[in-house]
Amino acid sequence: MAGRTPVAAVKAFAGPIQRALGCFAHGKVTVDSYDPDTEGVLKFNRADDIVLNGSARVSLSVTMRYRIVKMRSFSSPGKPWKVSTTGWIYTLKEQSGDLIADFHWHPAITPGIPFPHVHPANEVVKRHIPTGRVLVEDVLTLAVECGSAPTDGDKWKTIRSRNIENFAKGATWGVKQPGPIQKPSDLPN
Amino acid sequence: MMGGSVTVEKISEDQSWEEFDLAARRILDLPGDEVVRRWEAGEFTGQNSPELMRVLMLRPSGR
Repeated sequence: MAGRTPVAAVKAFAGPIQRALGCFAHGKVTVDSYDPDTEGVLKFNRADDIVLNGSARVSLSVTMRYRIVKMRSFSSPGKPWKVSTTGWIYTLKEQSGDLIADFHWHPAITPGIPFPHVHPANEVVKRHIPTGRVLVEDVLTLAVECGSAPTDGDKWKTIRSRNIENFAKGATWGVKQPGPIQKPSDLPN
Repeated sequence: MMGGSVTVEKISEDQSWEEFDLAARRILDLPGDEVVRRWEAGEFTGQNSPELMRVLMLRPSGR
């Protein structure tokens, strides 16, 4: 998500997250930096556990860290500023408060565990199970599997697919889905 | 910025610190400045619990 200015880049970063969360909840996404020299924090409702729409009353907490970078070459003319995600924590819980899954990526805090990972429910021994890149849309999709319901299902499907598609255009890692597996006979000699 | 029932707002560094401090008190039962002091002194070494990470991720840069 590129922008003409650092502020525009942050707004382009936060807008899709706002629209995705808006399909399930009320509240406020906050950002605390428009400064390219300062890593920022994006939170949804102060990173509290927010109950999502739906009878299951699943809750979600969202925190992301980001940095505004100036691109040397850019595909969007006149939009040299881009926001790069530098960390996330998405915590999904049952109505009871029991954990469903805790998705983490915080390489600057834990250099020994630099990869995205998940802490699953009922974790007796703390482990960092590797994941790929996790978007807020992915976590909301899991929330739907757990009983959350978008206020408008068609709108959610549209926002979800548009967000992922647009994000993939500007992302530098981790959003490409694997294609169909080729049979050996299909491979070129 | 408006969209659906969620808005986007820019908060100040002080507001960001207040929210970090509140989360530190709620999740770790420690004030934010004490979390920072202990983290920077290496007193949390080996304690990378999800709860600690959840608090540290909220720490405003430069504070």
